[in-house]
Amino acid sequence: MLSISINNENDKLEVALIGEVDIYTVDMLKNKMDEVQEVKGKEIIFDLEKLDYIDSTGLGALIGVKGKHPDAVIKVVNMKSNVSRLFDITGLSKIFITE
Amino acid sequence: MEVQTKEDAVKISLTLPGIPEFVSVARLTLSGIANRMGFDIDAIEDLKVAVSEACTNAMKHGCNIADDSYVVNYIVSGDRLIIDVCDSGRGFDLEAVESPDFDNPKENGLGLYIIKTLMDEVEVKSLENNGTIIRMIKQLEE
Ligand SMILES: Nc1ncnc2c1ncn2[C@@H]1O[C@H](COP(=O)(O)OP(=O)(O)OP(=O)(O)O)[C@@H](O)[C@H]1O
Ligand SMILES: [Mg+2]
Repeated sequence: MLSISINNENDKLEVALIGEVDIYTVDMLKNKMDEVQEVKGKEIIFDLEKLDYIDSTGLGALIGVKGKHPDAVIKVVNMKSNVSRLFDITGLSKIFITE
Repeated sequence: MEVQTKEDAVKISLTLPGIPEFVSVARLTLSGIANRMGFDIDAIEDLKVAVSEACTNAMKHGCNIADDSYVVNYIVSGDRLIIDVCDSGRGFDLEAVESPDFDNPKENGLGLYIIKTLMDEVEVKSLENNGTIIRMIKQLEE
């Protein structure tokens, strides 16, 4: 299961992912990200503190966010070790700012 | 109850429908088996990703119609865990699949690369229009 909490402020868009992103839940993530208004010029921050699981479907969705907002600074924070491992393996740590 | 010797392989099979919400069942089963075998938490997380990638592919590329099913076999052979994911779809050639281009990340094409990175051995048996078996093996580290 996945739940998503979005906090859209003046200068930044915070997206917290809670649970699992896989082929079943990824559409929910894509739809939520498509619904968000006025992203231009904002920093996008994905908080993955409570994300237990992600695979290529979810990583693909994050790459899609980068594709849609190529100029945005995208940060990915608070990753669990299994998640950050996948970011390293797939080179995503290079296109997102991870901490 | 008979005592299982190390040489005896035990097989656990799951038949899953080509419906996205049930891939998590393959992960849960994997966790149970890998945990029993003594894999540590990090290894179990890796195995979960690998089995999900293979199931996702079986569903996305292998199942022709929505109510197609695919099979996951977990084979415990001594301290090796062998996972076969079998579909009856169009098949593909592993050699012909390109590695991802890290300078130009794309939304697709990461799954097999991730599987190969996380597992010790990966083998694909596939015939055109005659399904795919992807076999993934992970050795229990002492
Ligand atoms: N079970 C399968 N049956 C038929 N073709 C497959 C199968 N598994 C993989 N393929 C082929 O191999 C290609 C690469 O698979 P891979 O998992 O790496 O990427 P993807 O599934 O396209 O995207 P991603 O996994 O990143 O979401 C697929 O696009 C597909 O053409
Ligand atoms: Mg895939």
